[in-house]
Amino acid sequence: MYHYQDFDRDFVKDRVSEFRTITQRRIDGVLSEDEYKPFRLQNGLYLQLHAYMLQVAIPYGTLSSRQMHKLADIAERWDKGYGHFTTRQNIQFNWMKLADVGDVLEALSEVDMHAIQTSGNCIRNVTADHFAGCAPDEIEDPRMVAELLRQWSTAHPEFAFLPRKFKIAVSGAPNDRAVIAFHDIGIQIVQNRDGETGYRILIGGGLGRTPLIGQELSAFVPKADLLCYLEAVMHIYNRYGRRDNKYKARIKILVQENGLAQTKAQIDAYFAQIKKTHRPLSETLLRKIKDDFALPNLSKASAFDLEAQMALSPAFARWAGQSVHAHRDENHVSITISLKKQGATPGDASTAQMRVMAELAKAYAYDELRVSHEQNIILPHVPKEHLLAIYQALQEADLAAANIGLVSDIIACPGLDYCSLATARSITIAQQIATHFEGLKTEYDIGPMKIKISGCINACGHHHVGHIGILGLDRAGVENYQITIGGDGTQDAAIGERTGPGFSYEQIIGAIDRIIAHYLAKRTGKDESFLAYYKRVGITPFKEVLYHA
Amino acid sequence: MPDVNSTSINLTGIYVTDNGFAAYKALTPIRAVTVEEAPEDLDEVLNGIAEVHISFASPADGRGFSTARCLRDRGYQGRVIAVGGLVCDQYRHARQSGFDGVLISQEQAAKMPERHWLEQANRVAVNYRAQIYA
Ligand code: SF4
Repeated sequence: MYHYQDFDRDFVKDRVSEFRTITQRRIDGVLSEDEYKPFRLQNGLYLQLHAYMLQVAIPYGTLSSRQMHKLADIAERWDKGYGHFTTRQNIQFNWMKLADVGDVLEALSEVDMHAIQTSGNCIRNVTADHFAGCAPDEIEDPRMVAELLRQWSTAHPEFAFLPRKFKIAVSGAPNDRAVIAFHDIGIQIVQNRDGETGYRILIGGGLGRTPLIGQELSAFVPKADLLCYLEAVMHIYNRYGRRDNKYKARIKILVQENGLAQTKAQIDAYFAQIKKTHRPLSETLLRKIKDDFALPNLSKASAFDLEAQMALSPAFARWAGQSVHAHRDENHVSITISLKKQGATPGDASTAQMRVMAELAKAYAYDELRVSHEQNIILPHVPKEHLLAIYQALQEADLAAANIGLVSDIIACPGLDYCSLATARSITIAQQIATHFEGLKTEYDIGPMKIKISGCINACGHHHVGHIGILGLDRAGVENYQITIGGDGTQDAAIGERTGPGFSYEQIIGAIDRIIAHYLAKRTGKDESFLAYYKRVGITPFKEVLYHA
Repeated sequence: MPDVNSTSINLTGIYVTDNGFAAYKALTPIRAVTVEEAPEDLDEVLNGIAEVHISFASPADGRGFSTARCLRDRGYQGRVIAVGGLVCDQYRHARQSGFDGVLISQEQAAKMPERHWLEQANRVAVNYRAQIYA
């Protein structure tokens, strides 16, 4: 992973001291909350329903065990003993005291971490495929370009006060695990006909109240041009993006209103203007990034018979069946650790659990962890021979839920339990769905299923791309849940279709149950997934069981 | 009287540069460029103009940074000054986007004293660009 250089470190330290100075002015009453707000937002500090929340940046979700330990220390000392991993591949601490935040940032800086640009109308933490560097289908590790983008976008003077926030995601493989079609900019690493590696650029995707699938802005941008090209994109957005209405301010609306052709023409014209004088990238930096993201020195592990082990223990087999993923090296696998134990808050990890995961990474997995946008933790490089030991340690730490990719592996935003914008609860809905199907013992039979829940129209829980999406609204003071079906965040990007009127808090679990029971009864067989079934039959049969049964 | 294109151009106030506060002295002729104008259309208009004023409606509206950047890209070499709603935390952004300084009112100066601007002036040289580009 990327190792900070002096500049990175000095920059973060300076921001900590700047934060302390200005926050002291707020605590002393020199600054009002209104005057302080833009500043705290640039440093990842939100004001939620009950307390300040600090969102800590985890660039493209990559962490060392030392960094994970530090997050555990922070949760223990300054929060309530847990942290919440988010769909931005970040972690948030929900119970911060303003007077402590300077110390928390200082602690983070000791392990080369910070909370810069995790909020505000700027370029946010760049996200990437959580299997970067280990996926067998990968053309190139997307974290190399994500790191370059991190440096480029950090404190970029021109793009710190954009019309609205700006999110970039990178995928290095044809199979998209980074949801790039639903970002302001999605970057896919591709090869052109000459075998040269470059970038396909999608623009104007997004969720929120106007869900849109990103469109292709360029089929191939050569590596050397990428930053210059993105400067042109951002420049045009900064100049022409709408500022009169917060809900129409994302770049997707600019593209929608002006059309892709006009937006592209503006970008291309400005690109041509700045390309002439744009400085080339530093070879030294590119080499360093390449070295930093080289695969670890993978052990030539002795042959390990995973199949035989699975045959010996059904519980281990069930866990491995969901949590173990193929690695580009045949002696290795990647493991997803579920933060979705049925009945728990999706994405939460306790101090003790963070420490266990950090120690496992250190002992068995080349000292590296990832946060996935699906709110789980990944050990990217694991020699197969350590699988059993890891499984046992996870069991002891209550981290061995064998539900990755299943009905209880739910993404849920914080909703009314924390978020000041929420119109409904989302965490409790996730908990009830998970325990409901656990009780029925149908999880494995149902098979691949992505349920995603948002507590308001802002869609932080990505409900539009859930196979089943749930959106919690407020109807005259009563929670009301709308259902969408058929959303897909992969390379086959699709926005879920609404079934019809919403359901009350009391009715929603029953409604989800009817949807799934219908699928189980009508599918051609277990190899027809829920999504495949929906694609075959459409929404009508689901409407039938929801509203006319 | 300086040659200006708009009566709304502010000719009084405090001019903030890396050296701190000074009384503002206009360089003429001056042209105000609004953030709605496309710098691409102004090459001829700005020929011979000594000073450009770009106004910020509020600290949240960052269009002026792109206007300045684009003027510089197109080779404008006169003085470029930010006027209006910037706060001292944005001094760095202004300087790094191509502005020479910021023109503020007496009231702004009273709220944001010189030392706050100087703190930020120290950050003008701190920039990822040095690390990223050859
Ligand atoms: S979707 Fe709404 S309720 Fe949920 S975190 Fe986002 S803003 Fe808050």
